[in-house]
Amino acid sequence: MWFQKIGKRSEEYLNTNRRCLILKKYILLFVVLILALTGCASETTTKSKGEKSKKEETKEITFTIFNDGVGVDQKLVDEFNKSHDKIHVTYRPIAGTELQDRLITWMAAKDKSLDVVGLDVVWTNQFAKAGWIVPIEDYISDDFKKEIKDNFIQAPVKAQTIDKKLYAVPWNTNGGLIYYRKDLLKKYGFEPPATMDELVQQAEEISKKEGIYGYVGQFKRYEAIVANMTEFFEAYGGGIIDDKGKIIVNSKENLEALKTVLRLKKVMPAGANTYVEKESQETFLNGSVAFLRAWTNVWNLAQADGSKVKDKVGMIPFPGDKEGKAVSTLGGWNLAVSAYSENKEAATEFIQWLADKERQKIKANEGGRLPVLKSLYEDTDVTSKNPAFKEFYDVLVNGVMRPKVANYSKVSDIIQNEMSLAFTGDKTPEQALKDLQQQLEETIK
Amino acid sequence: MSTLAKQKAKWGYIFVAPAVIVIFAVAIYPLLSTFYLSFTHKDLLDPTSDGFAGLSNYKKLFSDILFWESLKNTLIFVVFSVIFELIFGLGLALLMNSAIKGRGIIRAVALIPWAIPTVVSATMWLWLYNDQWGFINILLTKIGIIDHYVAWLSDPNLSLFAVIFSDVWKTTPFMALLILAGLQMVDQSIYESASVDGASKLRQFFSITLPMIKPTILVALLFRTLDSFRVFDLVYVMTSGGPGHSTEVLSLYAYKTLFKELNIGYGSALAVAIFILISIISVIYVKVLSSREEI
Repeated sequence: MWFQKIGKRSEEYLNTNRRCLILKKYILLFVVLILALTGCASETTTKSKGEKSKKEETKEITFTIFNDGVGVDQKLVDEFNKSHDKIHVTYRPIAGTELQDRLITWMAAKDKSLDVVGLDVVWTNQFAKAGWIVPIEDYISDDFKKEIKDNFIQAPVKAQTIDKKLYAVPWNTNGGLIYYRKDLLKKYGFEPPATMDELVQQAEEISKKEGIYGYVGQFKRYEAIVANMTEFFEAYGGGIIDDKGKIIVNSKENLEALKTVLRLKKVMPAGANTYVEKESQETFLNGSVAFLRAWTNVWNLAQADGSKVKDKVGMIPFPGDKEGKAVSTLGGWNLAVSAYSENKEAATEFIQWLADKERQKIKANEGGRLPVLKSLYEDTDVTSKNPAFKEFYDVLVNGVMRPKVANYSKVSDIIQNEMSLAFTGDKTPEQALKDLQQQLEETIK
Repeated sequence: MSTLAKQKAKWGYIFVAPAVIVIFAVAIYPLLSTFYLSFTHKDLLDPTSDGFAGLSNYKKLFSDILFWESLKNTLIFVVFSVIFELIFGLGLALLMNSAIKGRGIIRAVALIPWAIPTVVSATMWLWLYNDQWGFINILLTKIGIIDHYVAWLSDPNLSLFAVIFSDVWKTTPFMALLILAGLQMVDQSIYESASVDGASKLRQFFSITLPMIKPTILVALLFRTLDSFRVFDLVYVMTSGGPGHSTEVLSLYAYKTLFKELNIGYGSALAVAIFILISIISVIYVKVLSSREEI
């Protein structure tokens, strides 16, 4: 066997080279140990040394956010690096589904390599309460503070304000809304629904006469069911947690909202409780449903080639129980500075640059993201490229926040579970709300 | 020991050192660390919560309905998926082992499901099960088994079995591959003498094949039981534990507690519980295996 041969050969070798062997052995052991123990560390030490010598001129910071898939963020970072010689930004895009887990792991390890981080609207509270991000309010310039106060849409700003302090700068926003089939509504002589009751009636009638589904949303047991249910609760004047932090789940308003959902369920596809964004929007784009609750991105999909509902789609804010009332769950991305960053000032400067008018415009025009700066909704450069943005504006000002609590993930999981049980019919609406109230009280305290 | 032997032994230690260091760093240290954390109140969202918790996390575990629910789901998943994988895997292995035409193609094709990354095949099954355009619905209505489309993953009574079915599809080839290896070790001359003695094919299967490949089957069962006990990606992609918690399994629950809720203390206790349960299963299998070999 080959290894026996090697063994024999090395034995011979051992015998003939006894003397220098001991020395060699120690050298080898030393090398192995060095490699094993400092292999990874050596790279970082040399790097930080290099950084130190350069520090006087250039500050190195990183920008970690979800991969936008269209390269706009990369472009912005390149542009920043070209125009600023005091700060150099390294762009670190992460897949959207992974970002939260990765950030949490890094933050828990107090990783100093994080500087600017992009946060989904619902994460900020958690990160702030854990002490992972600094209140950005203490770092930004007075001018920029005024800009946010006067010229930003206030719903996203409010969502990033925790204990009266702004923790992250809203960068772009998003909201849930109702898409409807213009052609079908016209066919049956309906005006776009002004209240939730009207929507339900229209959905039922169109479904019955047209032989298609009436309504579709996202009711799978995951994050979006929370957004969907929050909208219904708010529409009927209910909610999950009030401004004072009291849990107000078990109310007659919420019961009415939940019963409306169950009534609408009869005109939803049978698998509605397994649908996420993708399945629900496919149903709509295929022309199989009259009303769709979705985020703002579906508008462009509906107008694209290959969509069966091209030019047949209208959009309204999520209607309330009374005319003139509208709600929408807030989404969107925000920029924060890590508490472990060694260059917080440079990071803040980069955030201010990213969130200024010029950059929000690029993000809107090339990335299709809804700006948080009010004036851009009147800007002809933006509106000519995205005619729908004007209509989104009304939706966004009415944005409502999902529960703002430190342990949002746990709270969200409880809501997901109880609402999924109620939606599937495993629990009566009354029981589900009662159980949800009780569990949230135990969890939040 | 002679000097030479000592020398050799020393070199042996040096050569295994990197492997031992790596195993210690990626397996033993995290395991011990999880044990330690399961006795603390550590909660990442609350920087002050670092105190020693004693057994309180484990006490909580015993009264946690969700833990028992997910344990029940996990056990159902393990039992059904492993049994069906064994039956189909055995059949497939016999087919792959027989001297029929196109055996090479069968072997290659049979391995495809196993070669697809789980996340990809889970997404594929998600669409196959779709209540509007899913192929399963189309197929079953065409051949007349069901008269209207069924939302397979929507019904709490069906969803777990729908997930089990996808798992059986995916891992049967693995089972078949292991059993095939066992089949090929069986000496052909035994069959020859059996047929000379007039034993039927069926008799040969039960009296020769099955006893001869029993150790292989047990090893394959061990692998699959442990593997399916830790099922995560399939459920995560297909149902995220829903509807309700009808498909919540232990690893998914531990993952949510650890990485979504950031409750490191309790999450570690869950992980330790999984570790202990898996150890018990392994010990039982190993006992059965070694007693077989003694005979």
